[in-house]
Amino acid sequence: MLKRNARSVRPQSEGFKVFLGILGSLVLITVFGLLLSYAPELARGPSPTPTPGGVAISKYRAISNYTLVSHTNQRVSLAHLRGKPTLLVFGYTFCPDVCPLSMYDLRRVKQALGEAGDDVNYVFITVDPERDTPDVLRRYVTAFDPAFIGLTSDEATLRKLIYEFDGVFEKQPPKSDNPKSYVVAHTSFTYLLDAEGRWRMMYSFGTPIDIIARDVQAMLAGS
Amino acid sequence: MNVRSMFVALVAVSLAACAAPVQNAGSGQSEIVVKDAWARPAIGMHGDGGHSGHGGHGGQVSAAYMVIENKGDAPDRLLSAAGDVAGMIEVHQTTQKNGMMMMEEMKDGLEVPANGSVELKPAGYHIMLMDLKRDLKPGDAFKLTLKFQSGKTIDVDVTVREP
Repeated sequence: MLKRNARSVRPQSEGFKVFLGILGSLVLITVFGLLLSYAPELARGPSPTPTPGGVAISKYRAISNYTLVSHTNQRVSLAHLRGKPTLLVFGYTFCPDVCPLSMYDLRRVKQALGEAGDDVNYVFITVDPERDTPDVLRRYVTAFDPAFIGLTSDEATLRKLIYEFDGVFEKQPPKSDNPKSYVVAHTSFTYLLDAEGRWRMMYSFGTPIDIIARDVQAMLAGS
Repeated sequence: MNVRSMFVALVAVSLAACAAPVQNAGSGQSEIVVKDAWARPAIGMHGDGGHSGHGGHGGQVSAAYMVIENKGDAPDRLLSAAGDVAGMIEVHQTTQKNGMMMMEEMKDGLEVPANGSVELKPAGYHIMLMDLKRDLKPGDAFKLTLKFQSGKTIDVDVTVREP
């Protein structure tokens, strides 16, 4: 009797362990299944993480004195920009999303600086010289602010220039149905140069305006 | 009720829990509502009539942003957008890697989850407007017709404003 009881209990307790194990697995599977069903949401989309501040360039880096072509179709050497701090972005006018937003940010920095905003160069250098002729650049940059400067050159020169900022750009294959609709992948930081033309700071896309304005103010106060 | 029947019942319940979202998705319908549709201005990019010598320049672009909500219990997918504001309209995604910005057409469309939403916003998803037919000034408005996988089409009023 006792033996039979023990026998009848043991399978039950083992069965209970198995039951627990399977129940645990099922809970895990259920949770995992639910997670999977929401995974597209979790994996969805880029989540740009704006850095709170700019990155200081540890050794002020002098940028070579390239001669470029301005939006008024004049040859301009980068040395011409000296005497004022310069906020600089690389982009292209066909870029619908990030580049114009960087330009709005430059304008907001200028506004935030008030009168001192006039003591800064705001420069857009194209990474798409094929489409961004001086005339296209003129209409583009002056739409943001009449004082903004657009610059272009040949592709090789622009490549060397962006490389001095540790950046690159890469024209993507045009779509077969519209060869003019190609996009250009490019480094999209905003750079701050001092009045001597040395690269001092870089800001990732989405950096708050007041942070950039504060750095420019400090630079203007120090110079 | 012995252990075995409890076990079977629990398996059944668990499997039902696993399958539930899928079953809902299959039997329900999406219910799309679009909110806060806007596009950034594109000013002064017209009028040179090809004087630049390139037979048309590439600057006539803008991007439309919005929140697409799906109050239904089936997911849906934004496949395309159309409108007379631009010659070419595509659903795009901007991706960012080590400061390098890249833009790609979402050829399979953009999913709008059941009982959820997706936001088209700068540096994320956008509806790219290429070959704009006119300048877009702040305060202007235009229509886009969004097409979804479910067969639904939604007309959206897009307001032009600065980001």
